[in-house]
Amino acid sequence: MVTLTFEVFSRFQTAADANKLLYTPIADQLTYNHTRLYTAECDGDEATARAYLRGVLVDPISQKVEEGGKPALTGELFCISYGIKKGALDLEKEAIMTNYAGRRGLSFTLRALTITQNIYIFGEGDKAKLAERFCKDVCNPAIHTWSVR
Amino acid sequence: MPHALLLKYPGTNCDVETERALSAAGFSTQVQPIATATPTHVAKAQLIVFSGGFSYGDYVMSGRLAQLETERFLGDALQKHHANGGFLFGICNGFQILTKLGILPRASLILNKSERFECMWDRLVKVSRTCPYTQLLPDEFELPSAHAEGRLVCDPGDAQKYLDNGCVALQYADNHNGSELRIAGLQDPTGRAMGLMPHPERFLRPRHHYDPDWNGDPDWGWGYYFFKGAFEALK
Repeated sequence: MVTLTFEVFSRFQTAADANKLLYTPIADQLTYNHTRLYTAECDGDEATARAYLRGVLVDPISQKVEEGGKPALTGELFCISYGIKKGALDLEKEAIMTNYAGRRGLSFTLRALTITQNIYIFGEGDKAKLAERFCKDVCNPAIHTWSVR
Repeated sequence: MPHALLLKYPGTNCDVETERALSAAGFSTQVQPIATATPTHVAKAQLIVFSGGFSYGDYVMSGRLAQLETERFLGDALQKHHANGGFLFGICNGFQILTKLGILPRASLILNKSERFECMWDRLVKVSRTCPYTQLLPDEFELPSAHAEGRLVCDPGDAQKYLDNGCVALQYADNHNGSELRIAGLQDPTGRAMGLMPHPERFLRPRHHYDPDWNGDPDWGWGYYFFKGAFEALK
């Protein structure tokens, strides 16, 4: 079994005002960027699996991808990673897995796929306090699990 | 009577209006869900239409899963249809799907510069003189737009190349979504395949215009003439 990661982000993305993520604005001058991290567990031909997933997940015109597990962006105050919790329906994952299941003759098996949204917050301030505030407004405990780094 | 096939995906939501516009222009029209579509359906049609909506919830990126599912169910039937002289027309999400399928010149439609969904009327400028879909339209006209991912981007230099070689069908007068060179619609070099972000099917009749006193045409809205133009080219 091999784990493949693809952290995908727009090459046209610019740092936006982080207050857009909050229900009520804060005084801190923070900005944010976002990426999407796909983690796939595969058996079989790794090169074919990588090529298939790249073709599905990445738009070569408008996006860049970081493969290999390193964070796609650096210099953040903190990063919130959140995704659909186990047992809740992740429609994006289901749509990708359905397309994969309908393909014939692939030389690998896609065992599992996890999709994580990463919000990179840039600027200065009390990391713990700010992270708690952003998690409260960005994440929904009914359907999401999340972590902060 | 020319026959049109409208391919419908989970999340397509403009198929009824688009079918109505095709019928008004004179086409016999079949709306076919992609999961039951076959190359035989494609072979029977002169025009393949991809209408607006949010296919597969725009998951991964707009049009990506529709492209993958189209390839899974139809193989290269659409490419063959195109190579054999067939017409293809993509509206909004359909434009996104046609670019992903590689039938239109290489481009991508990404999140608007505002990073928001925007719903407004757009003033459009006709650029291509060979596009059958816009042949019956005046040089400037307006259509409603409604999209979050309508900003057209290309590989460096490609947008200018498309403008120079006649692949730009339409430009925005005001470029609210931030598209390269204000491109609102692209066509292939033959003009038989075209995609645009605004919604012609939403301006079929004069009463659909935001201005109740609009008097551009007594019988039809500008959107009608896209479908009529295709009909005239195919009849």
